[in-house]
Amino acid sequence: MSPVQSSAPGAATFWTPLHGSHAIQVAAATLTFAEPITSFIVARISDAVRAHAKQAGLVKEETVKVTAFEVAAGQAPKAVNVSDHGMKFSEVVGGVIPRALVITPEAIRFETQSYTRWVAFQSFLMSIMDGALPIIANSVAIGQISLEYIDMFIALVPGDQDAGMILDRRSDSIATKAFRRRDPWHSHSGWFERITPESRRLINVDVNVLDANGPDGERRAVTIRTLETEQILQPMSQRAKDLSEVPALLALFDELHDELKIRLRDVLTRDARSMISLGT
Amino acid sequence: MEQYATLDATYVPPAIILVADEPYGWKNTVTRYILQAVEEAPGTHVKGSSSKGEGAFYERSSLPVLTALKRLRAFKGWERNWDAEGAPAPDGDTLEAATKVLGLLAVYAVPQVGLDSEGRPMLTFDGDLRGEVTVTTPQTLDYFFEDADLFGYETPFDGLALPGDLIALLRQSA
Repeated sequence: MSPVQSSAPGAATFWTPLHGSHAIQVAAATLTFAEPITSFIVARISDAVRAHAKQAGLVKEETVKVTAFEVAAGQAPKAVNVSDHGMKFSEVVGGVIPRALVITPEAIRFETQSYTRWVAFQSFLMSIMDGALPIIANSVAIGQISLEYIDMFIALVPGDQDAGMILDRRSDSIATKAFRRRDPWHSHSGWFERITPESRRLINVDVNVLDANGPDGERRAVTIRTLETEQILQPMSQRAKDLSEVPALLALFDELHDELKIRLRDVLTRDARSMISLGT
Repeated sequence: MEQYATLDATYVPPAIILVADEPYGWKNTVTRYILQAVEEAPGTHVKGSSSKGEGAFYERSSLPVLTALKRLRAFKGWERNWDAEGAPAPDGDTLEAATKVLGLLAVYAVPQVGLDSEGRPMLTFDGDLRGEVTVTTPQTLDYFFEDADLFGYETPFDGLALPGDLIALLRQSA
């Protein structure tokens, strides 16, 4: 039996994770193709995943539009064209979109704002990839695969609450020069890690401390965006072929998930980790 | 339960992918593509990050699955005799397993959560689909859907997937 938490950590007096028991505001998985696929392939993938998406509650289906902007030096961007550009399946609850699956010529992206556990997120991904991946594998190489989380902590009371209760200023993923306890700031960092000769990982750890306006008025908020992307450098490589199979793709997502947990843990204080059961 | 929507400028809303950021798209072209959904685009209310001196905004809404998750985890603090009838305290590991079961069920339909008289987490459906799933130990669960004539007792649960016949029923009912 797990011990009952008898006393809340000090930080819990002033801060709360977004969902009481966990802080994940958004989780998103994206599979990007090495080159854009045709609208016919987009339609085939949409047909292949439609039943699963709808059974899973993503019942709203709409066409994605693309807006092309012309950007020239010294001039404001000008919209030059709007056209159909893929399909979006989404769940709508009270005006928000908790979950959405988007298929475009460039990528497939699944995003949820109602994340509960990794196992559920992965289970849905698997059901979609079972349908989509065989079509993708016959049409295009995988370009990159990424997993992203945005975690959020909100101050319970107004004022300049101490972000040092949530963020560990000794973390090497935070720019120590930027760190402020009582003032807003941000520290965004990104770097590559070489995994194989054929691929590398892009890692982003973006920390924001800012004031947010909402129904309760203004509150200090901490958001941490962690993103890890495996980029395939050689589209015809064995690594790219491996990732066109569902088991290897899911194994990669598992690995990214585990690593992102470590990235998040690395920027949090012991109290904050304890609030979201991330180990102390 | 409250849901906070997008807060800062780093957040990429659904259906927006900056093509120019992708390796293949970087050809020194003057054209950028920004994908957008036809209607709702969560995140469009985001104004920027604090360092720019602009305000950020959030909105709130209720999502049943997050309410259920919070309630389930709150049971961890309940002590023995929580029902004044001598019920045992809920087991922490079983509750954690129940959060996985909840997540897997909620892919199709969000149940109500509660405890049975033995202090075991119970996930109940009370709509078109009527029935319940009780997490009896961290590794086993019972399920009972009388209308669909589907039962399972002490069914193994590996923490990764629901029993096949239960998934089939959920898919059929979704």
